[in-house]
Amino acid sequence: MISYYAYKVKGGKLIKVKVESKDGLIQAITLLGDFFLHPEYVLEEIEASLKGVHLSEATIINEMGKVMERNQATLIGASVEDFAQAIMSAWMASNRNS
Amino acid sequence: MEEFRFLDLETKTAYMNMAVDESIMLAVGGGFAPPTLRFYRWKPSAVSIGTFQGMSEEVDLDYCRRQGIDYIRRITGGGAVYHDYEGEITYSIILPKGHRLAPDDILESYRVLCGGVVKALEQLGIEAEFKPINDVIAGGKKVSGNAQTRRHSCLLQHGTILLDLDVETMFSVLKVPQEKISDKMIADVKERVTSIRELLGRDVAFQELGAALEVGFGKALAVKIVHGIMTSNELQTAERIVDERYSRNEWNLKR
Repeated sequence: MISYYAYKVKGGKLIKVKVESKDGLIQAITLLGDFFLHPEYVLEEIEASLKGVHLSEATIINEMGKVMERNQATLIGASVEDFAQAIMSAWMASNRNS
Repeated sequence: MEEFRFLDLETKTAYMNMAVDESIMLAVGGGFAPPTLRFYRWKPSAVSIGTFQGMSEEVDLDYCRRQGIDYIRRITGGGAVYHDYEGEITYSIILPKGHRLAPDDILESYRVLCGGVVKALEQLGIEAEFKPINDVIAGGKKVSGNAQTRRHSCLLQHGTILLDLDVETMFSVLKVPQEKISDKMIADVKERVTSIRELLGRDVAFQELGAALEVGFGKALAVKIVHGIMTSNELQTAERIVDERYSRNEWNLKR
């Protein structure tokens, strides 16, 4: 199942997520948007780290947080929590539709 | 007073413009070139997207191909920008890591460097201010967008200053759901975005804006602007980066 969600962060940027999931696990994920992340290569590392992860807000925040921390990365215009929320919204919206 | 190399307004393709910014980073980061300020235009007109954006989500590629408008992915974050050859000047500023004008705090460094744009507008008689995260506004409307990356032991900030605004073309290039392209929406953009010519209510030549930006950056950053040129090494490196990155679908259509 592939689901999609766009979310405008209040006072921040527009984030878009594409989530491919099966049985409540993330198979693949793409995080898109006009936010800033320094250093930029960390985004691909975040996407890779979320593969196979359980679709729960806390787990996603935790996984993303670890990658951010390890790389001393900075997000501007969106937070780890915003992404987790968008991912969960994508999943829940498509669950409702199916 | 510290000297900045200044590369005066020049016109290049989208590929070359983005590659030159990067080749200058490599030179500055390697200690082969001084901090550099550069002004440029895009010919053909082009759309650039932020490094994390999806190309086909943001840009009507068919329209671009039909109209001969280039499209390119930047190495900086931020949003999609339509760079009209007749409507804007882009600047870039490249500083070595640790430079006094490149504080670690990213928002603070936007404020410092956008000061050049604010001061330039002041030169033209326009009262403007930095608006976090990465905009400069005048009369409550955006007139300049900016984006930053830190790599190659450098800080690169590039940004665009609108001389004129062509909302209709902007909407054709950027992917807005057809049903949303209404007069209302065009009016909304005109409420949020402005241009130098609109603010001053008169024709302003590229040269006049360029001159104001040169003075503005010099004053705001307290540096001496020294007219210079790119080295042949920087030029060759830029051409290599065009071949390896910017002219490739693997890069531009990566997301």
